[in-house]
Amino acid sequence: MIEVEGLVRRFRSTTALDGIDLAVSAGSVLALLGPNGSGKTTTIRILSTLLRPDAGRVTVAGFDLRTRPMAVRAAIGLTGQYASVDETLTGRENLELIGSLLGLRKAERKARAAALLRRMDLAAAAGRSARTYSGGMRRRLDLAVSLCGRPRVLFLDEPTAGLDPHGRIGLWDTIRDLVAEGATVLLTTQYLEEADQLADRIVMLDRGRVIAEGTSAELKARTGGQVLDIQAPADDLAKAADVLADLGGGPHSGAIRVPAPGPAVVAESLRRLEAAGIAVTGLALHQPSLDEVFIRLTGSAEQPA
Amino acid sequence: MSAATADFYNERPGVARTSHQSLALAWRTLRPLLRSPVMIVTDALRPVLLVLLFNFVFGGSITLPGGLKYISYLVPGILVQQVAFFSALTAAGMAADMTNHILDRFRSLPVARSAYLTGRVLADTARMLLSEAVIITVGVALGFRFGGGFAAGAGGLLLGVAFGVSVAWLGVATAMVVRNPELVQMVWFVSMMPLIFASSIFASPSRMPGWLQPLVRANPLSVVADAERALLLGGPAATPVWHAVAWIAGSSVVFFAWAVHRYRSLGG
Repeated sequence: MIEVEGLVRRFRSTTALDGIDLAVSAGSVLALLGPNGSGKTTTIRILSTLLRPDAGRVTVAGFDLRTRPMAVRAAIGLTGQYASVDETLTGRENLELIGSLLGLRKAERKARAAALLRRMDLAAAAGRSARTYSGGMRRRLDLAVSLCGRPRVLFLDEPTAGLDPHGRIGLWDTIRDLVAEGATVLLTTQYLEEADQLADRIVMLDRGRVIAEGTSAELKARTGGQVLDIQAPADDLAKAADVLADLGGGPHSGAIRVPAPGPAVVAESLRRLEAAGIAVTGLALHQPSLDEVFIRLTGSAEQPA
Repeated sequence: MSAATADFYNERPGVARTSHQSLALAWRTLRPLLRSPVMIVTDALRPVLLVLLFNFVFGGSITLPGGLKYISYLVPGILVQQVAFFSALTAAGMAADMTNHILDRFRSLPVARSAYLTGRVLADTARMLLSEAVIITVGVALGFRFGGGFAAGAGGLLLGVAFGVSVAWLGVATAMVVRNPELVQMVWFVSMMPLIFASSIFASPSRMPGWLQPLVRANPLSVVADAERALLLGGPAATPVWHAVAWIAGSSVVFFAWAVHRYRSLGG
């Protein structure tokens, strides 16, 4: 549904995209994961026809971006990093305006606006100016607006940035529903968890290049995977490390850290500690964080923002 | 949207589709205005205040050649000043759409490239017409009379709007260069102020210092104001009107081309 080959984009002296290849099959979700400045937004802006590429071949929904931009626009929906709705209009007016621009007849655009407002849980606020909306409501209106044309391909640029956990989970559910209905989604995010929750495949970008690609599990495996942190009374820590040494365990900031690819390691560690008479005071499983993924993959200690 | 519909999306939308989209975007600019009585009243009150202030504060101390009443001199001038003023709103509105990323939304939709710009200029044309009507009404109440007949009067109002539209194109082009809504208003204010006051809009150039007179007469706002005066008050109109039409036509072509070029380069 989306094919990108050798995409290059420069801004004056900096190269924002340095030869990106992507492929998203119909009905699947691809997450672009990376820190600020890695080229995520630039990629979305090019794919949604807002920015011209300097080199490379892009087709979206079967249309070449260079020769059929209007056909691409008719097939896509875009929800930007900054909610691009008209604050001076009400929620309903925003939707009806887009319907009108898409050439829908009056009855049809009213019906579609009403349906989208209901779906996005905005029916009660439909007549209020979007300026009065909360961050989450604005994001939902933005998504509703981008669904107005029944797009086959959805571009979501950091869809949950700035939302509270409740809003984030709500939006995830909505995105899952859209995918279940057959939409193809390309989303960008800085959160590994978000990519994990939504994406079939993840592409990691760094400084305009693809540095890793695969499913969430594949990427995690490449970064060392899950670890188990065990807390015990300070006097027992050395003994605990000893007991767990052959599992790869060792002291790690006041606790014992054991690589734990599966639940068997957890059971085994607890059994051994109990046998050694060590009282476990705390237990936590950690997924590798985006920071760790980046440090591992780029070999640099640069912090993702 | 099915594959078939997307396929039918012509890369160059026809006139009907483009005008429909322009009107939708013009409506979108006017909608908040129509909802808010305060904004409409402010919009209408601004020219009223200008006419009243200039007429009563300066009117008494300005003697005009040929014993012309100041209100008669003032009304055609204010018409030109007001339509020029609207381009500041055009520019600020467009700059705001760019910084709020609303323009990105429209650009990512299957909307004709020209629809956004024409929609914005159309909306401001509607506001210009309202403000012209207000100026004429207040002027007539204070003693202004159409001396050139109906056709000439209507032609004068049309000329004013045509001038406003040409400057509006300059406004949108400026907005795409400056991008910051506050800055664009300041740039506009600083560059328009001298043009508006060093012109024949408020006072006759014949009483200005000799060194200033050629500049004032060459100022396009003077050219348009003089044509406006000839049409609204009566008198020999052919020469000033042709000068004004030439100015307006020339600047429209240049400003429009620049605006379209800037718009096309947005994805640059």
